[in-house]
Amino acid sequence: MKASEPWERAGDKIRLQGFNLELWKYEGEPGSLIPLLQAAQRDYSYIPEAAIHYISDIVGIPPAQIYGVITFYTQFRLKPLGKYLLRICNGTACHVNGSKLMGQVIEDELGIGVGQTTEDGFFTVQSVACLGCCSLSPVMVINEDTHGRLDPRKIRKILKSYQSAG
Amino acid sequence: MVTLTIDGIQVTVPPGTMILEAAAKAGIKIPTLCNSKRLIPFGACRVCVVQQKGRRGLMPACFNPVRNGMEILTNTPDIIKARKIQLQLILISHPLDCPVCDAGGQCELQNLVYEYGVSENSFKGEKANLATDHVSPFIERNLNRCILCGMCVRICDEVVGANEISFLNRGFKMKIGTDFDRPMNCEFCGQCVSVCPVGALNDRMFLHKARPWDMKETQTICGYCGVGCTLTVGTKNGRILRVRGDESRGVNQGTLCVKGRFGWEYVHSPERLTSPLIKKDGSFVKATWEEAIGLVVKRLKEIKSEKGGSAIAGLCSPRLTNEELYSYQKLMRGVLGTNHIDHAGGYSYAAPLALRESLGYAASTNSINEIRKADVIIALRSDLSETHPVIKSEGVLAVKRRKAKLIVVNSRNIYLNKFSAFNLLVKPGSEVALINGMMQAILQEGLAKEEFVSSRTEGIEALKQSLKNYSPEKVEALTGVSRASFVEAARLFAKAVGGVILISTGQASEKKDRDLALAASNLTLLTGQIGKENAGIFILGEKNNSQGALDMGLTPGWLPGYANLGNPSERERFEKSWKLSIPEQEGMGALSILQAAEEGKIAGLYIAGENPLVAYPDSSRTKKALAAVDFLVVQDCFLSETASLAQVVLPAASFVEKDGTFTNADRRVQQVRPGLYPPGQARPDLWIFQQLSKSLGYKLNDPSAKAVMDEIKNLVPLYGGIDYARLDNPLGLQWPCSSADHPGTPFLYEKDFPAGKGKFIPVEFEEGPAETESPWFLITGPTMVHSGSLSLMSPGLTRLQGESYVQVHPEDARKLGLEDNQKVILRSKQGQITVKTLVSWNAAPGLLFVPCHFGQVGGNCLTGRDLTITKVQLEKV
Ligand code: SF4
Ligand code: SF4
Ligand code: SF4
Ligand code: FES
Repeated sequence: MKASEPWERAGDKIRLQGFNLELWKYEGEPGSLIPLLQAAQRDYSYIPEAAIHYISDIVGIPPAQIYGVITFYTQFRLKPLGKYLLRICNGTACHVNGSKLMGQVIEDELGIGVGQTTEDGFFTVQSVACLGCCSLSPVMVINEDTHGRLDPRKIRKILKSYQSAG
Repeated sequence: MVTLTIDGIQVTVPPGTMILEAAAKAGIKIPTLCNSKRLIPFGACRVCVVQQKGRRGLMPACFNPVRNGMEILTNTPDIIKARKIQLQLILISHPLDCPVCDAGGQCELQNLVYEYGVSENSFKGEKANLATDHVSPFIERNLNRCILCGMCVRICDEVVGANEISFLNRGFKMKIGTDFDRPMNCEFCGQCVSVCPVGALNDRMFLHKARPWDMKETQTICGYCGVGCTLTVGTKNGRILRVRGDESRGVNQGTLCVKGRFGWEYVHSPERLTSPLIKKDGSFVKATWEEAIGLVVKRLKEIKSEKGGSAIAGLCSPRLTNEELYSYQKLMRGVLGTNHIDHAGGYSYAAPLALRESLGYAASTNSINEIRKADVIIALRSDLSETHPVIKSEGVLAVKRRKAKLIVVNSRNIYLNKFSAFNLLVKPGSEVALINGMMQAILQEGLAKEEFVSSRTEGIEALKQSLKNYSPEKVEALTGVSRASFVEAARLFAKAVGGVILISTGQASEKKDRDLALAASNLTLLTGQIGKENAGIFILGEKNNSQGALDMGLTPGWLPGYANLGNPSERERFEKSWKLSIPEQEGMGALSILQAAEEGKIAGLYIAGENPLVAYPDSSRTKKALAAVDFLVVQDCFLSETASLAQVVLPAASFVEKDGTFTNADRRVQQVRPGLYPPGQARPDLWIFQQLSKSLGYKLNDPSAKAVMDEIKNLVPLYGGIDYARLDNPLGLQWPCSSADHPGTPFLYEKDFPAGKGKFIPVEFEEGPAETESPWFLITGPTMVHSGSLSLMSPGLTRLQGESYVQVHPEDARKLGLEDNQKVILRSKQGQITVKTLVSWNAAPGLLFVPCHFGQVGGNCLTGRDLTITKVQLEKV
């Protein structure tokens, strides 16, 4: 566990700082596991180990089982999002216009596939169904910026510019 | 009842029975890969499919209950084809590394593949390729062999309640694991290993040791705690290779704890004593049995003739068999002429004796397997996951399957609270006040079982009188528990269909144990939770034969079978049979023996299996007392701390090297069978007692354990029908069993109490003397991993927990600025120890816990012999 994580160790339990105390209202309600995990992910961009223990205390489900649930659903992350969230569109138009190849280029450039985050914590790559700007296909969005009419060269250039911007 | 036919055979079974069990009853075996009778059906593997005549499609037999008139087929070509396909699907990713797999020969997958002749696979796919877990203690995980039956996950949840492992990921990546795939860090009970049908979870100690069919397997009884689990001990070439539980045998039904399953290594410890030792000029030299016994006999004879039998005393461990314990007290009383004999420090059996006063018998009232059927359970000062893990599983079954309510009464936040409806955190030592408060609430609310009280009990008026002092307000102040919660707990217990109280005994004060047991007995009498199934009081002894030691008269005042020593006719009965005379005077208990030794009044002390220096309170005083004895003989498997002070040491056999019987915490007499010969010159305790007696000029009894039991059954009516031939069954026999045709007694007091009525015996709560200089309450006790000195000789167990510690509550730690794992000094009037801290929410504020094992740094260096609550000071190093 990284030291920068918002947790505090007290004895054999881990306490999470800044975690929404209101959540204790779910105490003893196993059914509220999913909303709690979503809340943790919203607050921290991922689900920290400490949150698993904390939520385990609240709902009374053991950590191993919660970990099982997290790894079952693709919506949950166990690592922080990268600084830049790169979402590559896989809608019909983009698909027809070569989004698969673009995905491959990104994978070659960054060394990670969809759903992963680079070692340096810079990029997280996700694939989305349609970004709603089909006229620009193939398209990717990095944080708030849309990049359209992609080709391999363009992708390399864009990624470089983010990398050098730091 | 429901009647159906299976492959043309008619069976009648209770409604709710699954087709699978009904088939078993009809003698038809349906293959399964994800089913165990210990688990709730799951329906994952689908190899158990069967067909209902007249219907299309197949259904899992494990998952579908019987219905009247069903006609089930289990062996049609369609079914066989479907099963083959299931097996082929499993084999897609299975590595088939059978030649190096420890499950080979007892693998259910291998057996089915063989039986169904699955030699080809038209399905193609990748083999699983996951790293093997070489790190977790005791358990090796090779998940490439996993068939995702989920039995490990389910047993860890449903029976153990630890939930250490879970299904991770989904689809093809699905596997079994812990959170973040860390190494296992759990109870290491090995239940998961025992249910795994393939070689995915393995007993690490057994890895590559033997093929199952190459081993001899012996059914015997665990030598650690009072639950009395049946062990199946696998041996080869004179060594234990594996211990497992057999789900069709014993009260444990296959469940074991870490000590029972993995704690046997001490049997093969190089430190085992293999020859008698005699101390010469301060150091031990090896001797023959003739020399050693000759010396013991000579010295004891001298002492007896010079100072009389009363200068001789004996302490014996409740780890020995009934036959040995009986023979020991016969030897001491009749041959050596002393009643100064005791066991387990003399402080561990006040609770059963208290029940004898109020109810009639000095034992648990009901059977262990009834606990899982109770609907309200009070764990009274009982840290069951540490002291009796398999009883904890009974509680888990009750809570998880039957939605029973568990009420925990303890001064620490024990682990059991994970399952409790009420955590009644009492001030140390105030349990009795709490129970009194509960009874008062029951009376106030008119919840007492009037009819039961009036027809079957006596003394209710005195109880009512004494309970007047226990108003909710007062009890709240005495115990620190909010009245709302204990009053609600009282209501629950009073209204329960089956209410059970569990009391574990051992490292607690004698006075407190008696009061606690009487308070519990009052509560059950008041609410009618006694004399019926799935209710009653359990006294859970610390050692494997705690109950037997009491039954066999290993106490200063009771002869075998609770015959009163002070009663001349009772004494005569034994004297006549033994052709010996028994001293009239009641003897001294263990702590008085030590006191007398300190004063120079005990010249000869014969200790068998006990280790007072570690196990008794106030170690430094015990040491002084033992040093003051002229002639100390110690008989043990190891050169214990106590044995090293002896003049003569006699090497004893361990429990897997002898036969006899143990009586467990539900009065169950069970047969102990040898799987090995003792190492070197070590001998069973029975043999040693008989040799000693012979040299003293008296034939103690016929040599075999069986013959001794025949002698016992003639003298002890409770054991009247206990016979080795009858004991050869998976569940033993529960006393009282008065005659050869008596079936044994699963629960007591169904029709009446031995004295006619159950007695209310009011107990008052007395606050311990307020000691103010030392701020911290100290609680000592066993831990799950250890039990006295034997477990410390098992390397696997000491790797899990190798040193003493003091458990501190995080809030206290914060106040004191203490870190985890920091050295501190604990000081009491009796002594001091230096230990490391373990900061844990399981402690309670203001209260420290130190395990009672670990000799020189164990809790008993701090406790006092007066056995009231100990308080200590804590300093940082
Ligand atoms: S050893 Fe026991 S506690 Fe640990 S995972 Fe297996 S079943 Fe669960
Ligand atoms: S490890 Fe064994 S018991 Fe657990 S799911 Fe796999 S095959 Fe079943
Ligand atoms: S120590 Fe007790 S609970 Fe554990 S296996 Fe032995 S008898 Fe069973
Ligand atoms: S045993 Fe019935 S589905 Fe596995």
